[in-house]
Amino acid sequence: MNKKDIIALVEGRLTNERKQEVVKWLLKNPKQQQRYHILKAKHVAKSLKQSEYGSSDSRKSIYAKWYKYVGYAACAVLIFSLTYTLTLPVDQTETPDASQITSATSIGENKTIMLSDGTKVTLNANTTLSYPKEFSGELREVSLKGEAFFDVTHNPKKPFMVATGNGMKIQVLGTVFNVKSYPEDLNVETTLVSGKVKVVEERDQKTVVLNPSQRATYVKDADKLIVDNVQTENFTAWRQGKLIYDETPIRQVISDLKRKYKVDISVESPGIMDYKYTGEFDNLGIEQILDLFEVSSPILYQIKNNQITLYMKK
Amino acid sequence: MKPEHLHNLKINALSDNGTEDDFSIVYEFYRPKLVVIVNSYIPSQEDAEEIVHDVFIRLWEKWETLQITTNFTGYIYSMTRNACLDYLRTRKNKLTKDMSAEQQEFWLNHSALADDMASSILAKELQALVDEAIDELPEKCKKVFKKSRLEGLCHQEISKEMEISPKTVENHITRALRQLRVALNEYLPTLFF
Repeated sequence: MNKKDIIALVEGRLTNERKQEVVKWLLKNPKQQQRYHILKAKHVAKSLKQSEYGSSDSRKSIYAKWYKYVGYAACAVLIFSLTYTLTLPVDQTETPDASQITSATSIGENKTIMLSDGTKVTLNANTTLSYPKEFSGELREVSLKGEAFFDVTHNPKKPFMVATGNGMKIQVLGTVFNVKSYPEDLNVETTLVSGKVKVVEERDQKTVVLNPSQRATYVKDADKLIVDNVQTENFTAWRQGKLIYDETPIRQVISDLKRKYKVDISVESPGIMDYKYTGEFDNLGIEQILDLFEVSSPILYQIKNNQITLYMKK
Repeated sequence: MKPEHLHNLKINALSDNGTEDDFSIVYEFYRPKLVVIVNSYIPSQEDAEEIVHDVFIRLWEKWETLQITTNFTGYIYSMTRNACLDYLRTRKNKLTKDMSAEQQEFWLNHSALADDMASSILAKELQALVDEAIDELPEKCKKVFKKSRLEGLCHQEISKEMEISPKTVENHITRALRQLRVALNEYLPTLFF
């Protein structure tokens, strides 16, 4: 352990497990602990100042902001009227309770919607997003089942919150990030592109604050929150129809393929599930992808009326 | 202006509700900043807000009779710091068989905040922010405001010293308070980061 760990602790970048280790270590090393006291105070002082700059900025650009909102509002009206005429019968239903709107995509479908505050959300396949027609109250709250890419309009007075129903929620002020939270997946992942988000684990309210290019993975079974640095492009490329994998367990790849192509995939040997795959599929058909599997990994496939079976090369 | 003298803030109520005006400016200015500080040592946002809230209630109860001889920022900061240390102390000293991870964290945070050297960094930063806010007032206005609120001069004295009418003095102070209010209102929603 060294200064790097202390700084990571101060900045709240550690996983719970690692945090416990570092805290324990500090309590046993008075000299290092002293160091922590000062670094922590400096960090808090810095965040005090930062909250300051943010607000004086907003004071100066009040008109610029106003115009931006008008612009966003206009866009929102346009998009809403378009969606209304084009898609209302299929996938936009208003729940009776009030002004909650539910927007959904089916397998293989992507869709971008604009919320009333100008926030843009792109839904990946097989995803449902519920949001109010207008954001009233102190929070902008939406709930997500599936995967979506958020570009949230900055509004420090009304924090934006994404509930996943999968044991994790995400709080933001205005920022760009991706949330992947399918009920059938093992993990819930939040990847931050720009800005800052706070990820809250709901069971015991543990929180981590993400910096750009960081990902928070919540392991549902183990109730664990892991933070790592990633190439954000890999996690947002789905918006361009690309699937990019870097040491990703095949389990995850299969889940993604099932949602993107209407196919059933089964595996012959369970060992395959944990095989880590690296590769990129740029707008390919399912058979092309499976062919690529065969060249780039020890995985082979068979296909019989939409039923795909994967097995390991002997 | 030397905000070390902010202690006079409440003495020169310029109008009937001057005291309340001063209090709400103090509240709007310090509250969000204190929440940021407290929340950094006490992870629960709710508890952090409550601690700061209690500090202001105690401050309000004493407001009319408050006599601070050193400096106001230091005063409100140490009130808050003590409240935090109390909170952390009860939690770190809870008797359990094995010290839980949470308890260890309380222990660490308690010593971090109890460390005078580390703590003075926070007090200084808070002070710097006070300086900045008052420094943004227009020149004349700032001068009158400082004389009134920081040096504790009454309107008559300021009027004589600066060779302006008492009415103008009053106008400057009203303006200063209004501007501080508008500027400080912006700080209110610093809830999350």
